[in-house]
Amino acid sequence: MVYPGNGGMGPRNWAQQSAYCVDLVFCIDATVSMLPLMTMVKENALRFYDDFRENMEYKNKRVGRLRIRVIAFRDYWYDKEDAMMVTRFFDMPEEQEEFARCINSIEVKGGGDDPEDGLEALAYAIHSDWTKEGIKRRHVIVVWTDAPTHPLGFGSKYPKYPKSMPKTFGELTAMWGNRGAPGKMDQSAKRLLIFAPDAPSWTDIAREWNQVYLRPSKAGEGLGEQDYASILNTVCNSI
Amino acid sequence: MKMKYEDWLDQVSVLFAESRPDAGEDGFYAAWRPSCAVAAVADGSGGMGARRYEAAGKHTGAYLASRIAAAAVGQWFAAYGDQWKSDIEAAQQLDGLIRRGFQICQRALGREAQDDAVGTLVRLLPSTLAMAALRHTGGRTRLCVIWAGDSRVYRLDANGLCQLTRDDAEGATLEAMESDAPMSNVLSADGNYQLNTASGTLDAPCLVLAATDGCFGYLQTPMEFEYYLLHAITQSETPEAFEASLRTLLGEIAGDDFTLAFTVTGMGDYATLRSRLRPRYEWMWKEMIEPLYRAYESGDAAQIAETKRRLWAAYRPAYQSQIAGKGSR
Repeated sequence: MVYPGNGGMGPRNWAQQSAYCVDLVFCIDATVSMLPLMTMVKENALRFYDDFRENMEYKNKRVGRLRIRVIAFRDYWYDKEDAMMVTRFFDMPEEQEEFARCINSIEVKGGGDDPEDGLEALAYAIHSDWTKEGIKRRHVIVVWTDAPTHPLGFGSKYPKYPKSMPKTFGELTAMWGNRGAPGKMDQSAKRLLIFAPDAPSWTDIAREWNQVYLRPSKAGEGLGEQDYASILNTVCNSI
Repeated sequence: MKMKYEDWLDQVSVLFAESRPDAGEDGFYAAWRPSCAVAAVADGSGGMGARRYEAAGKHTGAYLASRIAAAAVGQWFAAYGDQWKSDIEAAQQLDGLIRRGFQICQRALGREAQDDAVGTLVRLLPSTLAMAALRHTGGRTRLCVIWAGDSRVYRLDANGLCQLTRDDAEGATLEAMESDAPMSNVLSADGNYQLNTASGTLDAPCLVLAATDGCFGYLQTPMEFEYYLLHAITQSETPEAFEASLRTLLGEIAGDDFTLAFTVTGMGDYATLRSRLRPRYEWMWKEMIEPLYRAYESGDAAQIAETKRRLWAAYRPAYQSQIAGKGSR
């Protein structure tokens, strides 16, 4: 009989395979009031990968692969062609400088009225090309905003409003899915972390969707009360 | 530790290992009396339970929660261990003690226990629990199993390993087990949980084991977990050597805290335990582990996946034949 674990790719090598493959999609409100949060994100963009990895290892979770995608959103009706900036996934740490350049290129501006098009940003995030690699996968969407949302389609009079957007909150909910009807997301892998006011539609999402964490923030104050360490810890705890 | 505590009870024991000293998020309780015994484990959910509390010496919510659960088991055993009449009754008794424990802890934490975050990922003091209670009466040994989360209770005998608890997690496929799927039900101070229950009679010599996922979650298949247990038992000459061997085996692969609490009944002595399980150990090697290890050594991902699928299909019916339903829900 063979000593357990001595069979080639047995348990010791499985430890490597059982590392987490993590995709993060950052949906960031890029309107004027979000300057405090955006300043914090820009200051920490280059160190994020190392901090993330260290935090995960402290929690006994090995990161096999990390990718980050950025969606900066505003208001289709008011900001038109500047309403949505959507990137591909950046592989970390190989592309962390490109990721940092992308973050630093985001200018806080515009926004018009108080609500923004956060639901459209969420739709883009759900439609990400999520990783299918690895046994333990995590697909995490993080939303930062100090504003409630417009209803879906509020900006649809703008000629370049995406035609493929879900028309209703119900359609967006179906995309997020649940155990009985999985939608577009991997039900084991998905997580949604929201740093937003206690306002529509964020509180509706926290109440109705599964695998959601909402940290209420003060409306209109750019999430100035959030600090980098606690945000990082929340992201890592969700994995 | 000696075997044969009573005519019906051979051993009660716990293996416990923390990945960081005095910061482990597993709890346990195991004890026995002339006519009853209990083996229980709890695993604080270190995800959203990772928040630290100044009032608790900067320990995490997960650390506190697993100890609250274990303490409640201890209180339950002291009061009801030799009196419970049914699993439902036992669960109701235990639930009251768990909820009282959470209330006391919340009062002690004061304002720190308040958190304005909302959503299904937000759980205050979350922990799993897996408990096996034995009661010997009228010449029979009755078993009551109570659980919440993905810590498990197993039975191991000459016919192999059976999982007795159904994970409160997504799916029962091998892929779901491997992917560390989210739990749908854990103990929590917010009160939004339910205890699952099952019961039966131990009518043959066996081990009953309660295990946190640190014991089995770092192995690719349940077959390998059984093989680890059988190897430690059959290749050791004393109960002490068995425990040391199992601790070493699990410690080599676990990337987390791990805790295993178990009872042995009907074996009489350690030599009998070894001899009863040896045929199964040899069968597991020949039919399950050797082909699995050959596949692993090939390094061919498709061959590994196909071998695992084929062997799991053959192993699963017996392994899950006693798995409980939704229990008290």
